[in-house]
Amino acid sequence: MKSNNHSKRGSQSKTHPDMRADAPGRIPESLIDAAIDGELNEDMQREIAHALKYDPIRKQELLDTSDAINALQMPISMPDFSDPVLARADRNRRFIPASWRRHVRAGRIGIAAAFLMTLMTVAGLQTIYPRLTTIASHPTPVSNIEQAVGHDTDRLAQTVTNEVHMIRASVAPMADMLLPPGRADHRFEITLASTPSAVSASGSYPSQVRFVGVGHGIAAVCIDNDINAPRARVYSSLGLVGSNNMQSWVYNSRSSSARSYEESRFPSRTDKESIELDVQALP
Amino acid sequence: MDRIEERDLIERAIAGERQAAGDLIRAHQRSVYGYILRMSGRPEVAEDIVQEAFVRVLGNLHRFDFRFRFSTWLFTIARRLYMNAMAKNKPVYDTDFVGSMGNTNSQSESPIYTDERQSVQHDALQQALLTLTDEQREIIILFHQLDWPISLIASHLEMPEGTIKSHLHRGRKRLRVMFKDKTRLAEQLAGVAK
Repeated sequence: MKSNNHSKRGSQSKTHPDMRADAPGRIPESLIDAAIDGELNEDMQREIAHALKYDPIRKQELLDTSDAINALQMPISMPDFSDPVLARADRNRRFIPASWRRHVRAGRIGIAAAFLMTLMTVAGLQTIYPRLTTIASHPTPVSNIEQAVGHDTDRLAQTVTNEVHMIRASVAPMADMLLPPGRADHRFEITLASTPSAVSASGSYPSQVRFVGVGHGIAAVCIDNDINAPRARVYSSLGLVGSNNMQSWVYNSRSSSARSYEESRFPSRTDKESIELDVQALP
Repeated sequence: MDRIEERDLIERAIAGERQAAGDLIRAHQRSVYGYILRMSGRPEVAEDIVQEAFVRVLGNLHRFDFRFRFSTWLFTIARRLYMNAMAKNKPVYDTDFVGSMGNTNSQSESPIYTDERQSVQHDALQQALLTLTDEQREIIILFHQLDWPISLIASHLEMPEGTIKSHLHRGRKRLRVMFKDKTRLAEQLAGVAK
């Protein structure tokens, strides 16, 4: 019973107030509980044991309680958990055999020491021989920026030219779809012919360009043989606008004035016509 | 196991010594298993919880504060696992288990149920425990089965000592009555069976 295990817990030396010598009838239940809890000293326990002789009901209750407590303290069957627990623990963290533990610890310390030594050596060499620990052997100053930018621009221009040629080649099969809207019966044909002076000015200006349009919408022709050839680009920008009156402009992009274009007017055509336009040398 | 020996085992287990970890488990498995088994009434639940509790303890052993008792820490973890398990699935008290206890592969130091009366008593005890409230059952197990002092139980359950005593006295009274009734009934049934 618990009173044996916990007899030192109590410190009472006097008679318990509930234990009245002049009224020995029923022993208070709280006193029995205190005895079972081990809160009474040996003298008090002896007094209760004596009183229980005259209180058979409390005595039987105490015996029944003792039986239940004894049943609680009966050993129980159980498996050994060490193996399954360690097996599960091994999945998260390996247990190292005792014979290997010293080597593993020494190895860890060695690796840490080697790492520290390497850091200290590099730091020392950096102080004594700065050039020795410099990754690049020579400085690489930024020079000839203008030339480098020119080269970069040329490369970029070449890339753009290639892209333009590729786009033109891909669009060429769909030329019919790109014809301007207008009346289907209004067909016209424009022939552009450049003068010798214009050809000499552009260098690569085509001697003759033939353009066939349908309808009376806006037709624009832009002849730019090579966008990287500044002179050709200047003289080859040509726009044609066709409605009731066919108009053409040759625009000089070198000039800052918007008026510096030549204009040729053509009478209205309702049938298929052949128009020949001379491209004049620009001032 | 005294605290010095226990501390040595814990430190060796933290250092990775498998044998020390195994010794630590074997030193505490009986008490924590008995605690959870009496609380749940189901051996499979108790086995799962005890195993999980030990795995968690070993995984966090480096965090253990040596100012406290290892068993208290272990029981706290096991108790939380038990409470979580009960919150998910209310247990059914398995009294059939009691009858089969004597036939299981026992590894205890003392013989289990050497006579029929012990088996009947154990059966009656499990049923009587079922009639108690959770607090009464837990406090009675901690106090009478595991010999924990009132102050430690109060700390473990985060209750005042007076409340612990109140639960203990009421639970013990009810346990006494129910245990007597169940024992008498079981003995009558055993007599009829014969």
